[in-house]
Amino acid sequence: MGLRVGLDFGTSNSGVALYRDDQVQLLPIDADSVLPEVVKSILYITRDYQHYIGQQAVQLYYRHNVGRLRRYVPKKAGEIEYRGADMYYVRDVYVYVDELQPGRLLQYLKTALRRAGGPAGYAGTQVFERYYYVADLLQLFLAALKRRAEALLGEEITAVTLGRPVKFSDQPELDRQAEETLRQAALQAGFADASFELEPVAAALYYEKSLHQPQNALIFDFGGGTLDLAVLRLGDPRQRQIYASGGVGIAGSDFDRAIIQRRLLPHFGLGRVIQQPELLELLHTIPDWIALPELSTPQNRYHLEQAIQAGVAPARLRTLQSLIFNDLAFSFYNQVEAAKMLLSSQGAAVIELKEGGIDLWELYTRLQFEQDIQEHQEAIEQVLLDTLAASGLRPGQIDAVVKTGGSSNIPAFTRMLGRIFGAQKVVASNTFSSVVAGLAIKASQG
Amino acid sequence: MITPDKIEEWIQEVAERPDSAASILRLIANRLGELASRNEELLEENILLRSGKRVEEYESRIAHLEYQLDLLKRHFGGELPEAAAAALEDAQLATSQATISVLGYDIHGRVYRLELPSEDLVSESALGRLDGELIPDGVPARLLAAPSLEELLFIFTSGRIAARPVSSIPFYGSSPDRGAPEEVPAAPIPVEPRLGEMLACLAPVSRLPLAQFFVQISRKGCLKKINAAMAQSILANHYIGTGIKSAPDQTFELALCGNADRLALVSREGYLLCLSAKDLPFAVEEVMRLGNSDHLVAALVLPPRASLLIMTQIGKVIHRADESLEIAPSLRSKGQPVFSPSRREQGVRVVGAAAVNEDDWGVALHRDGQLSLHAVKDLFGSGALDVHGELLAFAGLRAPLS
Repeated sequence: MGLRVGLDFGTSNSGVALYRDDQVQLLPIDADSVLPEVVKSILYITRDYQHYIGQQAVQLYYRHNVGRLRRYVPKKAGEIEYRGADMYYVRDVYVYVDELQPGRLLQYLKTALRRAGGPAGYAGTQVFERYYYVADLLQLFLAALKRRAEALLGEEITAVTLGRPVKFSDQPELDRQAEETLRQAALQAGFADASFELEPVAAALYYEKSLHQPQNALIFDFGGGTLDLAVLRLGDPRQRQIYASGGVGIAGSDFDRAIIQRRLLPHFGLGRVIQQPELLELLHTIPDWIALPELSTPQNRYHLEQAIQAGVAPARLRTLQSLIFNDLAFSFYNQVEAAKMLLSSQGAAVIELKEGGIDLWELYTRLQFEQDIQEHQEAIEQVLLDTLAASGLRPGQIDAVVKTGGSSNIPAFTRMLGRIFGAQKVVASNTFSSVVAGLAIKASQG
Repeated sequence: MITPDKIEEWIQEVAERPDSAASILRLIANRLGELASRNEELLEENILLRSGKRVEEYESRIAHLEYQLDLLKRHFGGELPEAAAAALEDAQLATSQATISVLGYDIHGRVYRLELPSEDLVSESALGRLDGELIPDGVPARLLAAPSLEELLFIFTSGRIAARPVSSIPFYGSSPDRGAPEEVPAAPIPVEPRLGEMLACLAPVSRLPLAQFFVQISRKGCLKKINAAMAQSILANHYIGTGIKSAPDQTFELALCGNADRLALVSREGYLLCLSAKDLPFAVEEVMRLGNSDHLVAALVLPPRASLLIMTQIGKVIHRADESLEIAPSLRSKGQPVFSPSRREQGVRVVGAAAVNEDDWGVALHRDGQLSLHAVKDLFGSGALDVHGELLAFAGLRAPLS
């Protein structure tokens, strides 16, 4: 009989853990990472369809892409039919494809899962000559995690308990579809059995191990993609009870986007570019991590060159050009995220990008950050209060507020929790590992 | 970019959390330091621009690039830029485009040049007979075969250099077995040696833009490599240095090579040393330990898959296949003997060597001044060539674009 593990497939980071002999064993899945127990949820597929995950994917992406040559060739994308002067015309449509592109880097796979449903959903993506459905991408990632975990444990893993947010979607049908897609991906990845547990509940199971008496706890699981909440009665596994759960699709990546929108777009020409709609479109695409890598087309290069030659904010547009055409999007988002994380421990940080001729420097303070995410803070507080109300408990009846996930370290939210529940009740659980540890506990229970 | 609004927000942060003041101050100070240093760089650049030095530097770089382009075009037979083309006579260029030049030269700077067509060569044929003293001051004339589109570097024992196109050296016709061998009259001196210096060697340099290093080799087995990036200043100053450690030694050869190439050194008394170019020293060092009476007779770069053909003065061919050429594990080695000690005692000596493939050719200079042409495959087949008296020199000959 094979092993049963917990697998936290997060928006930014993932992990695998095993619960054995009353001990949680976090597996060092990514030996190249600073925290080997945490693997970045990143997939890199090369032109020969080899795939890499985590830090290896990042390193390979950098090695392959930064400063590389490009060669665009027209490729038939389909045809369009249109009618004019009482006649129908059919015309071929071509897109320019970079035939020297060495690979595709795919991030935020879990967000893709959330967007996968519905008629206008994100079904998948073309990677060179192959089309990958979202389930295919997830399968590649999960299979790689499984292989690494099995290599570390030296035993076959047959069953997995996966974490899932309280809500993949507000629509029950799309929510069910997302979970089913993830289940199918896990089965195709080689797990004989795949079960699910809500992420905040998993974090609660881990927290429960440290309790000596029953208590009411609110789990505040705030990661890269979603905020998940659960109000539970913990301490006695036989009387464990979930009073309420809730969540919202706001998290770290939304804060990164807010920072870029409010603070960094002027570095690329916003405010100086006024009458060039094609350039404004480029600028407003910068915060979109999916679209930015797709901007490196000959047409965009032409528009940028024209504007630079015409003296429209030439230095800033040169920065934009370098960001797009040197494949620096990934570095750029990383820098923004790193500065945001620093603001959890200090009052000011610098967002800095010095590659490909770019010299971007922005001093960013915690106060500015809190102003920039004010809207999100209000929405989060509302969801928190709604979930609490749904549990039927008052703030005073909550004994502990357990915060976990990378975004839970943001001081504004710690303050908010302290204000509502009392600062002494707010406890921090293992930021990146409490969910996966709880999933491992759940997996061990079958 | 720093705007008043942002400064106001930083002040607000400090008002809210006084602890932030230190980190804000530190971050701004770091940035100021960085900007100050960049400002200084820009000011220096501005001074260079205003004084015209930067313009001169770029002009010099452009001139060097044009020179390299010119060399490449000559080597690959492309069209020359107008200015350069005007410098060469059209007729001469047209004649030289598909020919190979065999050059015999001596320490006094005399250069004999014969032109051969690159096709229809006949093995065992006589090319002509060189006139005059062939062993001036006891140093035999040397041979070089190169495409007529080549550029030659004349290297003197004083370290001075001069560049001349092969086609600028007068030639005396060619007749590989098309009638009686032609008598070559007294040779011209394309670059006159100065007082106290001698012509050390002629080096083809049209591959310079493709090379990573010059390797300068002395008669007594010292060498140094020079980064090819220095070519601009070397050519501009007409000086490359002697490449020797002490006086009795003399400059012997200059070769162009890349990091992955192998360099073969062959001595007159029959020792062979094969070195990896990447391990060669940048300072002059003795890499081959030669006996008192010994000196180098060949120093050449071995292209991949090329064999080494070594020629003795009695016409005996010694063949070392590519796979049998071992890289010496360390510098300052004596090298491997290519023939037995008894042969050495009998007076057998090496007169030249060439990196060859089966389809290549070799040119031999005989004691009576005769130049003979031989197919390498015939030499490998027979193991020897007919000698008139004794051989003085031997050189390999390859098609212009091979």
